[in-house]
Amino acid sequence: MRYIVIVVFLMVSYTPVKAIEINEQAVSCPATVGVEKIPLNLQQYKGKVVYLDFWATWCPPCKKSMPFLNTLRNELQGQGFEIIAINVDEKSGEASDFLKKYPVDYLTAMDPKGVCPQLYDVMAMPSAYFIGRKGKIRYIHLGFKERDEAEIRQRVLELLAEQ
Amino acid sequence: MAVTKGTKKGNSTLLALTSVALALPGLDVKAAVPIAEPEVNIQYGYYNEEGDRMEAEVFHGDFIVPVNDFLEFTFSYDWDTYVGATPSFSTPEVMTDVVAAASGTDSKPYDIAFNLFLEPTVRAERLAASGNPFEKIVAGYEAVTKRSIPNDKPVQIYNNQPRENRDMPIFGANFYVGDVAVGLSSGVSIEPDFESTFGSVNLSWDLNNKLTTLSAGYGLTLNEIVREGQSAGGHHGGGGDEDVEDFEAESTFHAMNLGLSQVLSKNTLFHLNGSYTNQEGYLSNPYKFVYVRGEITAEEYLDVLLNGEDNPIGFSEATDLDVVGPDLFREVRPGERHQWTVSAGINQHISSLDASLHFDYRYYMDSWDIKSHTFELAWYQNLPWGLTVTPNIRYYSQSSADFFAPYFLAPRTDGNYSSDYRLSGYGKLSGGVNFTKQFTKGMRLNAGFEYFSHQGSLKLGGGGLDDYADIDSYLVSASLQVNLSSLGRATGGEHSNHQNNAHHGAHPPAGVMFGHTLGQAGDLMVGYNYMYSDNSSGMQAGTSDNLSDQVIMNEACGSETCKYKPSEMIMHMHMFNFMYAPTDWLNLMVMPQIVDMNMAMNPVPAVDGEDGGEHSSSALGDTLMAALFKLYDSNQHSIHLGIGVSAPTGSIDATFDDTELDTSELQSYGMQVGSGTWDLKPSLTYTGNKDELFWGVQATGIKRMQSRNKLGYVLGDEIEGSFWAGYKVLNWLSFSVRNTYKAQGKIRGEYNRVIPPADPVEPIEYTPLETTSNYGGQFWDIGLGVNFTVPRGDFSGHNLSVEWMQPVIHDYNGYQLEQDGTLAVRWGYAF
Amino acid sequence: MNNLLKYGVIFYILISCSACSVAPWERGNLARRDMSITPNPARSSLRSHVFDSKEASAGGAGAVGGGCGCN
Repeated sequence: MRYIVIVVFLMVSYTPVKAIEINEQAVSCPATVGVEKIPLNLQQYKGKVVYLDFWATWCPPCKKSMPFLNTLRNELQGQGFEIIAINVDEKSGEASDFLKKYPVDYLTAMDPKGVCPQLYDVMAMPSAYFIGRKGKIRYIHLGFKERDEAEIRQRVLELLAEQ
Repeated sequence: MAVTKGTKKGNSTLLALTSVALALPGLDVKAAVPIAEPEVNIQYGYYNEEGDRMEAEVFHGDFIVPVNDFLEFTFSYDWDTYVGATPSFSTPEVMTDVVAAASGTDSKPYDIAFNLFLEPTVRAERLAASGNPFEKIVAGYEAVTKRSIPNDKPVQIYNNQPRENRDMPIFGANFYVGDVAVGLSSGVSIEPDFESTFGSVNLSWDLNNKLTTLSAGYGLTLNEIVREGQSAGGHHGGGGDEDVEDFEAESTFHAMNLGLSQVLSKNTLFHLNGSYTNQEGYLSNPYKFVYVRGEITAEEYLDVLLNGEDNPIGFSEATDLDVVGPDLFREVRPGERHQWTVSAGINQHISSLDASLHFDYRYYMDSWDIKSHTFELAWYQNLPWGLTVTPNIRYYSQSSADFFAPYFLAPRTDGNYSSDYRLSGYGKLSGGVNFTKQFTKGMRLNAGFEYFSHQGSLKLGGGGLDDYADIDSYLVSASLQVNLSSLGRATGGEHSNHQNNAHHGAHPPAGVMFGHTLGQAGDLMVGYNYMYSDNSSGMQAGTSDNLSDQVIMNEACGSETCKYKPSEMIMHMHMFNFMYAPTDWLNLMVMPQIVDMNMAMNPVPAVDGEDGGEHSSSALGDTLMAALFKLYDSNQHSIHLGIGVSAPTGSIDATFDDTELDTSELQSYGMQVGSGTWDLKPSLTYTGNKDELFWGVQATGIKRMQSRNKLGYVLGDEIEGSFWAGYKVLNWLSFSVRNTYKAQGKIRGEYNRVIPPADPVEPIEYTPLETTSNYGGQFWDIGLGVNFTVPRGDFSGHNLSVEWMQPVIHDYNGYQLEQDGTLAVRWGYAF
Repeated sequence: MNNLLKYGVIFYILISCSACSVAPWERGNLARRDMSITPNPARSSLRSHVFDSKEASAGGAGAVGGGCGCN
């Protein structure tokens, strides 16, 4: 009896994780853009610094970060900075309704099935993946608080400075 | 109609709804997720038991303000008011007539044995009148008690409480560090006779990627029960006819709880909770009595009767209990109580129905032998347009305390006794429904109703006392929750929402009602208005002030001579304002209010060291509903018409003894919080602005739509005109000056309920306040105001106005207390 | 003691099992107001106040958790 318990215990607590790690190449994932459902292609952003942001309408810190991110992106876009938001609401309609009321200028892709966050092994909401000019994941930032703004800006500037 | 001296107040009693100590308000475990945005909540609750027999109103307001990512502050204030009858003790049905007669002038044998409760002279008279030799008295007593075999049906004897209030402020702070949250809170609860101070600390810890949360809390409560020796006395201060002895007691509670919540699936949340509370000290209710036969024997009664001298309380050798009447004692509960609870609940979301189900169960047991089960089920059904409807059902069953009985036919060995129905065995079934409307702009409205049926026969497993205090009651609640920062409405993008505050120039002065309209369809505004006045400058007739006492005595009370005059009247009014614009040209508003008035009297002519006492009335006032129609609206000028209706939700039966019973004397017309009638309040307003200047004109009035209210009178109609002008000094600061004229009619009709004085020998004491021609007049006032606005940023949309209205020329009808000016403060938040 | 250990292990399995685990991005439904433990805190405390005043029992509420699990 005891052995069965231990075996079951080991089986269920070991989770094979195909986690994305720092310095790995950022992969494309099946999020779609717009009504036409064009698949997201991260390759076209090579050479730019990309902030990949996972968010949802039910996540208050996510919504709180958006004005700051929008301002940051518009400010540094000229230097090659781009933000791509991946929305994980199960009902994408809720996300598009939200964006109609509170629009942002950067690209938002929808992933209602949650495949992208799984590929990227998202550990918290929101999660931000800083992708460098060569397409490698350089930093992962979990959550969002007002005091993170300076740090985020700092990291983006560092990555922009690289060639 | 006139004032009578020393109207006796009923024993002020700890009303059921006031046992804050049991509610442990300080113990409030906080979530481990900070609130992120400032929020304010207000709630109104109305509880009614057994068809108006007892009523309570609860007004609650609270706000949460985050300071930064780690810290937020909370503050809440509760103001309760309660009035009505609660059970004081119960006796076997067959004994009631005997006990009731014991205080009368019958000389039944039972009665004679209790003569010691009357004054010595009366006692001697009655002893002489009874004509029974002493042995016969004892035999008579025994015969009566042995002959009266009680049937099983106990009968509750009620005690009327005058209206009383409770205040409860609570402060708190929450700290968030990583996955741990720490909450601290502390507060007091103050009501006549009972004060409680409490504090608590709560911890919560998120584990397992926030799928599991552990929580723990500890709370300390210190209670003090104090009853002043003198009864509050009548309208004119001084002693009442009855002196009650001093009483002071304390108790301390320690409460601990542990909780666990676990996410079981995307749609399921489970939670488990356990608590232990230790109560120590005076845990009885000094106003609840028990009927115990045999605690004092016939011989002991006789002994005290013969040898007790003038002190009626001579039973200390016969019993440890406090004697309050014939075989009637103050209840005694143990000095210690240990309470345990275990509860579990599950929240399940059902996607296909867009609904969620909550099921909760709690098991309770304590060292007084009470065990209870609570089952609760609620179904949250989401509907279009942001509506949620939530029906719920609750079943509660408890067993009785081991020292509980409706009455005791023999004394208990442990000396503990209670007949409080709340410690009896019974079941309680309730059903209710709650409606929620979420406005997209961060505002949420709730309204709920719940009906409770408390019955002995509903006890789980039977054995509850059938019919013992079977009570039906209901609870009505309404609340509003507002997200206070502009982040509540705009969380992204470069386009911010329409700037409501910049619209139409500056706001009208604080004393102007119906002066402001909202800019666009979908706009919302919430606000709080406060008005304060303190009139204490003596009486005035027409335009002549500084009237002498002689004049007042002879002329202010019609054909009678005045005995008292008002010396000071303090009024506080709290109004809550909700405005919504369903279209660009229409605004709808609702304004409930709480009115609090206090009046002090002085005798005429003045007598050194003597005053006429004070009386007060504070309760929910009349509720105003209005529609504002924009007739013309441009950037420079606008005109709007208002149709307002005042609903008579405010009481008009405040009595001097605060019991609000039909048999008590009513306070004066001016002290009633409501008008008692449906009133029409039309208004026409013009506002204009140019650069930094702004101005406005308004005509408004009150037309009473009924000829008499239920008490036989109606307040005068009113008409008011005002014009104002102001200057915007900075983009956030402006000043205004206003001129107003108001004409107010006198009262028509008069109170149809006249309570003659208790003692016909005492002369009726008249005051100017009972003469209906002493109301109304014509009033010219000047208003000086200042206005602060937040034009930009996180807190844009907030506005604060303050105005002082100074009387210039007042022409009073008849004789009235001179008005000294009014302070008006208005805070509004438009979004 | 052995019983306690057994329950402790089962508890640990339950809370850490990946099969029944909910990913951070799957918490949309848990974040709903009607899925929180007290969706209407003011009404809950008013009702508690009425119950605690009119009934002999007290306490038993006070769990926190669930929700969006955001950082």
